[in-house]
Amino acid sequence: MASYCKAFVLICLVALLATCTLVASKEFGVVNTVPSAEFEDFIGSPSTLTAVYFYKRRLQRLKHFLESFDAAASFMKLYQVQFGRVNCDIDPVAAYCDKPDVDMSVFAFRNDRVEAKFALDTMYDRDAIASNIFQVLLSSEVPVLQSWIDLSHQQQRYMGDKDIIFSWQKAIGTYQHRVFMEFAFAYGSTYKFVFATNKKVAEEADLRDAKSVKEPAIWVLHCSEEEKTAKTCRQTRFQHSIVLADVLAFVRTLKTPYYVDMPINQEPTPYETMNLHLVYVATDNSNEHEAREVADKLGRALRGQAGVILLNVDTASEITLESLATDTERLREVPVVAVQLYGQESLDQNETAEKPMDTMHFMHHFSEGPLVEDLEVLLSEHRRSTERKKIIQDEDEGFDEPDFSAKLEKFFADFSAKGETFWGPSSDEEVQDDVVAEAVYRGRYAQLDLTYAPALTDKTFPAMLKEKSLLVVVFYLSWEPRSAAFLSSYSEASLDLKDEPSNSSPLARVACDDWPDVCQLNNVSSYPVTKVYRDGQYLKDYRGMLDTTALVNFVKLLQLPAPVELKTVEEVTNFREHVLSAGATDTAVLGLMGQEDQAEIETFTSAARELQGLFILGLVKDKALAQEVGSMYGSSVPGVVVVKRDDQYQPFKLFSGKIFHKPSLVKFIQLASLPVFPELTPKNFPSFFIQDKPFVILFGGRGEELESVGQIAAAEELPVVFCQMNMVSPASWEQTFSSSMCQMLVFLHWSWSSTRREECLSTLTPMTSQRTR
Amino acid sequence: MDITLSRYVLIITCSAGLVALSLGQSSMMGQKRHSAESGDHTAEFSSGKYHDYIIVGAGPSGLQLGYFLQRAGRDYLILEKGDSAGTFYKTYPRHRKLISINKRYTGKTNKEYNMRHDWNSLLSDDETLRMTQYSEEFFPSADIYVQYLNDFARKLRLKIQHGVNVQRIWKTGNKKEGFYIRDQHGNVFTCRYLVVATGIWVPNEPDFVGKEHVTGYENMTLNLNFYRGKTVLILGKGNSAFETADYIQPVTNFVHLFSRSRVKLAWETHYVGDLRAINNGLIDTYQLKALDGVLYTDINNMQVIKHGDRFSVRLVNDTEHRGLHDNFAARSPYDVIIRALGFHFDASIFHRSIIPKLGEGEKKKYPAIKPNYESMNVEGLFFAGTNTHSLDFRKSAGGFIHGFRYTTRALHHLLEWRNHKIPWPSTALRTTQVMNTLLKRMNEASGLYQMYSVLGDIIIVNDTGAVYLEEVPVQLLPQLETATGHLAPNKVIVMVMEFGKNFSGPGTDPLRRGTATTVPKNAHLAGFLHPVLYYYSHLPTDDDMLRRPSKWILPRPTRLHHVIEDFLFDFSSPVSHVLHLRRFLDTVFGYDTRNYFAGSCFKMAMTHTSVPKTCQDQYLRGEGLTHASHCEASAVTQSTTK
Repeated sequence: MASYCKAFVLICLVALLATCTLVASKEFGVVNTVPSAEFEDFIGSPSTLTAVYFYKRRLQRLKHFLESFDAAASFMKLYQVQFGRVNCDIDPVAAYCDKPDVDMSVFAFRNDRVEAKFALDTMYDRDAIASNIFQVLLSSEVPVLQSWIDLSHQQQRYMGDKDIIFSWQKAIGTYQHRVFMEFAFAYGSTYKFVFATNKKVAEEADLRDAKSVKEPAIWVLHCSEEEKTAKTCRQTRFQHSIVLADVLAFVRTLKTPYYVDMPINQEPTPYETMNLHLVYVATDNSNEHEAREVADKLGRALRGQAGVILLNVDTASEITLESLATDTERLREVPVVAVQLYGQESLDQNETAEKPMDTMHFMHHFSEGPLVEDLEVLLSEHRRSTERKKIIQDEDEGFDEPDFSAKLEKFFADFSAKGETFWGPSSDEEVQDDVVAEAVYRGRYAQLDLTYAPALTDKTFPAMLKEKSLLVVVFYLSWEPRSAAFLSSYSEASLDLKDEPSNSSPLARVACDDWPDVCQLNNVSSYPVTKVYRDGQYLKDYRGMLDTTALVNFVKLLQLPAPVELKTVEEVTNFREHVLSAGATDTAVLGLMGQEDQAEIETFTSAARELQGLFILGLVKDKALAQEVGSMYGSSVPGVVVVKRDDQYQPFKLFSGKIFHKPSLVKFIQLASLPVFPELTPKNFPSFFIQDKPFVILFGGRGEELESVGQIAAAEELPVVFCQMNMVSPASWEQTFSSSMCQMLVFLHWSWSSTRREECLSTLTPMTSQRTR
Repeated sequence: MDITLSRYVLIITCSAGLVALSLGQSSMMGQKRHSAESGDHTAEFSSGKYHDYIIVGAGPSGLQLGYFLQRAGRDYLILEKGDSAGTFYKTYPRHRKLISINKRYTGKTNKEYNMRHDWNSLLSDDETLRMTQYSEEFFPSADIYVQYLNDFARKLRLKIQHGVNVQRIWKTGNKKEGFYIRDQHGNVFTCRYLVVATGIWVPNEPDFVGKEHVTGYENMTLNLNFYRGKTVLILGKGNSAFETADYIQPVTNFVHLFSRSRVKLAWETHYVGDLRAINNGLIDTYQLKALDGVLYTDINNMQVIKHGDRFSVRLVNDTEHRGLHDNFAARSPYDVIIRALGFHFDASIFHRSIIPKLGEGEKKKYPAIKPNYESMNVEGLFFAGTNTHSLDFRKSAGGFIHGFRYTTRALHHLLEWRNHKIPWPSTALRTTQVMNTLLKRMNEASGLYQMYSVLGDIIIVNDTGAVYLEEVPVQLLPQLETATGHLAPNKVIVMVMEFGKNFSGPGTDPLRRGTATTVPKNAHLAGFLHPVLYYYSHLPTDDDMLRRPSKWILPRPTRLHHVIEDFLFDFSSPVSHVLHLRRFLDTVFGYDTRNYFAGSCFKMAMTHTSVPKTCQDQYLRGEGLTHASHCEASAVTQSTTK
């Protein structure tokens, strides 16, 4: 299944890319072929750079270049660079086409003049073309530095004025260079952009990590915050690899304040939309001055990595504190610095959690030096771990960065045009968040064997009704996820219930999207619904779990008489043993009557019919036999005994009501059938939940512990549901209920009022103390 | 039967009293004259035969309403002027081919869905009464339809009195209810509730000089030899005009068509009353330069002058062709001129005190009615069938059988509540089933589909779930409570089908590339028919309705959801249709209605203070869903990682 999915995703991606490419070529068109007559005008436009390729039909393998040229043309349009092609074979511009090797280069024109000439073999893809063109376009604004001295000259020049963004690039013509130049184009008026292709420049200028970096890197030199006379500027390194989206996010953070005060009323901070880690400097009134200094320094040091927020616990509201950390006490131990790592809260945030998990990391120091060090360690560790995750994800999805950036280009163009825009990755596509729909969709090609649960029609439904004394029909909608999920259980159940001689099962189905008339006649208004027909008449709806075993048991019990009449001791024993070992039910119910107990017999019989499918009831109508059996359980006659297979603490239970009243008898059987101290599972939870009592849950627990709680439970003195949970189940349980300290936990119904909870707890007190002893 | 041809006629003559037991018998009864004829309409005719309901006209809508009344056990009688049902169809369409599709195969067994493509059948529980079983023709003969209508009446034992030609209808005093009906023999019928289902059957005959030289569509000869080698002019641009042209074209010299306004092609306007492709052979020959042609001319300004055996046409007040211009397009004389200008409602049967107001402008051929099908000015006078088309003229299908079979049912539901306090039929749904029901309806419902923009499903949201009403006239939304008998104190959702607001119209090209919308976020831009859901936090008022934006069928809702159009008209794609609809409904209901497996519900119940709606409604009631073996693994991982 997993490999299918992968293949599917890949196909989708390929399709998506193909679509993008198609759209792009449609939207931007191919490079204009420039008629010779218009050539002068074309290259003469004053403000733009013009790239021209003089085409001759002679070079082999030109297709790839021409495609890249096209792609670069549509992309560079955003930067007011126009591309053109002259066809030297058909419509030559003599001045150029006459030169023999003119088709071995791309020409860049500005103001009528050839500004640059690029050999065709350096123009190997779109990025190479774009990068080179950018280099010409911005040659005067973005100097290429040859030594660290050049860099220090730049620093002197912009000291107290502008921040410098310096990059080491491996070469011109790379994707990274292209990205860097795009930023130089967009942000050239705000920052000074410079770069070097020689890594020594960075190393000798003593830039951070310069010696260790292996991939192209970017540093920001914060010259604007220094005095005119300073020698060097404080620096920040861009920690990620050069990808459009990441650089964009980074550049945006450069203009945020060093730190902000925690907003009141839970307003957003300026960092909110920037995907930054958040560093909280918590203080009270007395330490505020000092804290502000620390915050300011941290803000400078962590520029581009984290946003710093000053939190005064004396003025902040309780809600604000609670929204930050579950452990608000720690925040009050001022002065303290805490970090909320970006991505962590969203990763851990459970779909249904009311509150994010506590993701605060509290730092041990409060002086700037060690703090910065600690923070950097923390952040770099986090970065490494997320990068690892990302790599795994990328492998999964076959995602590839340049394509991603291609999608971002348009956004970026808008962004640079407007100056400031909200940044946040967004997607038009809704993502399926219904686990059942998702599971059904993934399994949509699985073939279900529904031979023994045939699809009925308007004609075959009434025929089948006549033919079968017991007919169980599921009414469903084919496209509905719950229906589809249940159909696979239904298929399994039909195979289980197959009757060899007749080669059929009591199960059948009606698709309401095919036969709305049949469904309407049967009063179907919710889907799926399973209905039981006995001798052609509607009997009842199946109200149990949509589950193979539950359905099979239900049908098996329906096939037995209700009640079963028992005439001898052997029959009684057989009934009990047979019923309980067959597995369709955990409960056998015995009605012990004398012949003269007509009213009781009637009530019992009627209850047996009502409970048919859920329980099996056996009826003794002979006083002597009834007394004999009754004596085994200590039951009087008339009486009712519920015998349970799996309840070691309470193997049977007697009906204590003196008067046989059907509703109370039915209710008794339903409750008495439940084990008194079961292991809690998804399947049995609802039957306990419905009792509206608190749960007392024993976690883990071994022999003796189980035994003693089991005995308390069997005594049935407390109005609670006792149950146990095995802690071997998922680790999350452990976290949730945690703890070695308390082995037993009381769950109260969440729908109850607080008074009711308190009352209930007080009832429980004696029990808990007993347990502690 | 759509289009101009589809007007069936009605009507009437009454003979007193007895309920028809059979066709033959009833005409015998008709001979027993009642002596009550009198010129004094205000007199009391205590001897008049009384029924709670009288329906005038045993055409498709009269029969349809009769069926519903009969099923509800009401005391009713249908009065029919002919000696059997469907009188209009015995004459029309003149060339005997219905242009309502009779689609016998759709690849589906869903009967409701199949009614979307059966434009002739009436609604009933008797499955033998489907036109698909009467004819294999895609466009069946009108003769078969007459037989179908009479079978419908006979098999369902509808109470019809034939040979009753209604001459006059009046009321006494100021009573709100109670009508008197006199037939051609002076017999008088009385009823409490009157439904006029007479269609529109009176031919339109404009007044112009020389109109006596013109033959009407209603009595033109069908003998082709008459037209052989003739030059023919047809006045009109509707389906009857084009149908006539098609019929005679093979034997004529050429055929010209005069039309006052531009020809509207049904495939451009999505209105079945406009010119259907099946009838537009003349456009083909005109544009392929085969002599025939269409001219835009104001017929009221026309004069027909006889020159020997031939007729020439002149326009009065024609500044263009007066004097110098000698190239008037219709200057060559015609041998035959045929008028095919459609029909209008017969208001002559009403006493002058209760003549129903007619529609305005183009709608003057229909009586003016309120959204509950009641006359604008005569209280208690209801209409059914083609004559109710003023409500959706050129907008939907209320003038045609496949449309008015549903509006007639709506009328019946309205009358049941108005007259007998039986509320509009409804289904109570749990919240978690609302979406399934909506999806099921959008995938199969025929009434919503045929009567798009007019009939809508209404979901009244309450504490426990919702009450679902099907196919209610949405214009009644402000009066929902008084019209249907269902209280709607809070949230209401309306689902209708709509075409894009600027998608249809003469001259638009629905076949151009790029008309399809495929991305869900653009669903609201979709042009083709698709479901639209309007959510109102409170029922809109009459005032809201009056002030709705132009082209809107309903006031601006609190929230609006367009389900993206679908080429297969199947709205069950898990993400594009279902997921987006669920987002809308979850917002409206304020619940998370995602499905969860039992394991997830259990976990949430144990660790949270509340669980999602589906877990509450299903899992906690013991009806949780476990995974069958094959989807288990994936679902578990899903739920734990989220």
